[in-house]
Amino acid sequence: MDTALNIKDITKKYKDFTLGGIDIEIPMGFSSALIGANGAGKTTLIDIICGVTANDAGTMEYFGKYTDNDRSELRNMIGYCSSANYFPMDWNLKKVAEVMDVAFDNFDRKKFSELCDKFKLGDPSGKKQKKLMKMSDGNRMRTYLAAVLARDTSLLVLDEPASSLDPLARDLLCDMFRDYLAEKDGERTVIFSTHNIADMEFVTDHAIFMAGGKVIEKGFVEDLKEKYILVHGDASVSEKAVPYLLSSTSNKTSFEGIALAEDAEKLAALDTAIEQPTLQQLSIGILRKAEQDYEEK
Amino acid sequence: MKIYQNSNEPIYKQIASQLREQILTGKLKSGDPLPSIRMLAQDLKISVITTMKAYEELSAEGLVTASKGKGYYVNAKDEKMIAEQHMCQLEEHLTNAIYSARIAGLDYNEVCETLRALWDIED
Amino acid sequence: MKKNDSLPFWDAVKVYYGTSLVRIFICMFLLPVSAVLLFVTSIFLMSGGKEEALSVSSIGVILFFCSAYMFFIMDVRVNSSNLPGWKFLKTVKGGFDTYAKAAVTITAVSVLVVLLYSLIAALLYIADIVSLFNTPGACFALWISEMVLIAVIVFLRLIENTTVRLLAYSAVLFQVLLLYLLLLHTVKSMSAAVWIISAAASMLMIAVSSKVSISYYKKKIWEN
Repeated sequence: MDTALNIKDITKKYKDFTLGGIDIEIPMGFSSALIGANGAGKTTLIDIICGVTANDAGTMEYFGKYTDNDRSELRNMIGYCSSANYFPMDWNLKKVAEVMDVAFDNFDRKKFSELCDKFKLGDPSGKKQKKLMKMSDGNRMRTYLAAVLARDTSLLVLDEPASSLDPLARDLLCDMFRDYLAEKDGERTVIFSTHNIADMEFVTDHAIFMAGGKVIEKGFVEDLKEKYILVHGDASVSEKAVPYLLSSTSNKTSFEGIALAEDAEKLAALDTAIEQPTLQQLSIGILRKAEQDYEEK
Repeated sequence: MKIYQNSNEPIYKQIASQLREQILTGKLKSGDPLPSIRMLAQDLKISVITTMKAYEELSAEGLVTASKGKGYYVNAKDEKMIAEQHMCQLEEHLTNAIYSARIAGLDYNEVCETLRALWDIED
Repeated sequence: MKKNDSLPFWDAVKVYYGTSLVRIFICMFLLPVSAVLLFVTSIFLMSGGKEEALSVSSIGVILFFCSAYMFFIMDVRVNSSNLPGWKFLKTVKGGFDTYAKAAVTITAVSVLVVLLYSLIAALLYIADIVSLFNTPGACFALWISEMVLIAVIVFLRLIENTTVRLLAYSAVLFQVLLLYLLLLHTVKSMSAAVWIISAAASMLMIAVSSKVSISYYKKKIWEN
């Protein structure tokens, strides 16, 4: 399997936050999700990947041959999009098309019009144009996405693309990711960040969990689903079960948590229900553990 | 292809078993290409890694082969292998039947009688 | 194997401002001029058509003031780290090179606009139609003050906080306005030589300050 992006020991220090020693290999041809709470460092990492912010230490290797010194080649190959304030507020669709055409080599105006139509934004060449500041958050985000998807890029890096979208638009976004990956079968890669993986579960191939500026777990989704199990049981059994669990929640009648699959037999013996976790359930378990570890410090 | 997203059975297993059946019954002939993992993911609205895992399972069983840069192809029909596959399926079904019989409290003879009755119907 | 990744300066301006260079130039030229025309017309009407009511120095002050704010407003867009669009601008073709080109072009346009005012004033004076500035010295005062202002605005880009920058700008504007008024009343006659030398010196001053501020900006703000 080829690597689209090899991140080695990337570090960035701020006054009250440190993104520390990030090591990740983003597989080429797949969709990788950065999952974590607000403040986990996802946006900082994405900004460093796209050249928006400079890292203090570490190296990055893109597509097996470029480094972060080759920004001039990389700018056209990487499609970056943030979730808020991506374009100036006084722009409309027409202006977005005009500027994108000038700012990048691979912007396709026709594709942009098609995407605007698909996202129900209107016609970029039409007479009545709405300014971005007058659009809803959801429509603004759709505009940003239409602009970045209309470019012929090799790596799509999106910071929280789904957060301001309604379920229907999220579903459309998932379809757009799959279309993007299928078009140049195996040569294109998607990285996106989210703090709620539920709606994006069926478009996530590789997951990277972040908390407190560090990567706490990563891997292909199918492998992670076999590495961990979801455990439920009666409150009466919780005391015996909890030591095996990564993290758990409990109330008067029952408990639920995530554990390693290798402990499945021991847990099954305690009369608990064991099943394969969804990515959402896995995220909750892993992030909860990180939060508990942080509170213990 | 039909998959149940909310079932207990992992999606990749569902895909693998449906494709396995198509291959074993001859609907997919040897040399036929399977849809690319990404196109199948598009059609089924699932992640690429899931389709890839399904194909990898079939590849491990010897039913399909990955051709670099071209995708997956159905392997040449090996009579012995097909028979083995069918035997595997039979054993799986029979194991389930035995489990149900035990829960229902049926003994070996009662199960055989039921088997004989059903076999005669099929004929 | 470095690909040619830079944009021409008119495209750089298009990316940072969203409009064409021509439109920006026309805008920067016309807005102060229309302010002056509005002022002149209203004074004319209020005084009942008396030419003498028009004080030439007040025309100059209005022109100076409006053009100064125009230059400031147009410059703010270039250093847009507080405004929406900042992250997008960091990832466009050319990167910092595009920013530098946009910044330098806006500075150059500001200088050209002042040059155009001076030329028009000179032509009107020579053709004896109207003397916008009662002495050649007045035109000189406008030129020098505007050039000093442009040279300073270029450094104000380094202040990231927009509110602080606005306050700093107002302080600078006030100082330069005093300079303008001082020059207006002291320089009555000019020799061509002094004109040419000071014109050249002021352009050089702007070129130097522009270069210094851009490289400082790159180190302190862009490569953050």
